[in-house]
Order: sequence, then C-alpha cells, then structure tokens
Amino acid sequence: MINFEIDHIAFLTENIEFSVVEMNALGFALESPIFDIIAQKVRVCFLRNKNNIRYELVEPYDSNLTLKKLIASGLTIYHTAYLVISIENTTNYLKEHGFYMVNIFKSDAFDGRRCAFFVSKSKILIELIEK
Amino acid sequence: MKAQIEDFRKILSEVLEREIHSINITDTPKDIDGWDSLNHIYIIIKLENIYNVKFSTSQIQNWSCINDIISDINTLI
Repeated sequence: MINFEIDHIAFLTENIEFSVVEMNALGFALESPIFDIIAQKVRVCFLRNKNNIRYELVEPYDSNLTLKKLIASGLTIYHTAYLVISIENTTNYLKEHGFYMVNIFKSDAFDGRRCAFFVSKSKILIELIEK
Repeated sequence: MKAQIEDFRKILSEVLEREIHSINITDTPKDIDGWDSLNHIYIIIKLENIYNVKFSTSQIQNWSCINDIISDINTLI
C-alpha cells in the first residue's frame, strides 16, 4: 500500500485575493506568492493554519470553461493533493484501482517538481506531487 | 451496434453540458470548446460504460481525432 500523505486541499474561487482575506479570517496565513499557471489556465496560492492544514486556492482564467462551470454549479472543493515518492509507481497502483491519469506536468508552484492529476470513475479528483 | 459519429456527438454534448450541434470525424479536442484534459477523461469513462469496453493506454495515447476514438470503440465491441 502506497502512503498517500496529504499535502493540501484545493478550493476553487472566482477571486483569489478576496478568498485570501476570507481564509485569513479563519486563521489561514498566505505562505506563497500567487502563481500564474498559464498552462493550466489558473492562478493559485497556498495558505496554512496553526494545525498545519494547507489549503490551495485556485482561480480559473475566464477561458478555463471546465473550472468556471464547476464554480457556477456551486462546487468549490476541487481536489486533494498527495505527496508521493514516485509518480510512476503510484500511477500503476491508481490505474489498478480504477483511476485515470488526466495529465502530468512540472509545476512552478512546487519548485518545478512533477505533478499529475488523476480522476476516478466517481469523479474524485486528486493530484500527486513528487517529493 | 457499431458506434457512429452521431452517438459520439450526443455523448460529447452530455459531458460538456451543452449542445454540440455538429462535429466532424477529423475534429480534435482543440476544435471543440471545453474539451480539455479533464473532460477528455470523462468522455473516456462514459464511452467505456456505454459500450462496455476498456481502452488501453496506448489506444488513448494514439487518438488524434474523433475518428480514431470511434474506430477503437468499434474494434473493441
């Protein structure tokens, strides 16, 4: 069994600066700049609270129809991200358990480390981040 | 029953949650607004459920247009 260590939980927002202020009120402090992830058509940032819970805020570009549609439907919990040693090894495990790889990429938000999104048949979206 | 482009158009409309009025067999995801990498997987899952097939990774990687997808479905059913 692979150890799925939770790194963060991501929320969608229409306005990242506004949501940062809201999260501040809940005890979450900004711990990153706001990154422009052009390839994924989103702006993102990370916040952490005193219990060491880490949130990501994700603001889709206007051209990101899929995420805009999710927000319009009222869905803001977007994905859970896990730290793993190897994306390849975890990919095999996840495929055996019915997950599909959406994409794999290097992310500026994680110092250029490799990340991958997977989705299950019941549309549970997860992100893997290589340690 | 063989998969046809009209069946695929209906499935695409359902996944993208908007009416796609016409598609061509040569269309690629880039030709259809909203057909991004996540919706691509939702299309695959829907096709596998409807046609009771399982696409291999290499099949999926070799798809370049709608015709490739329909062709693989018809090979598998």
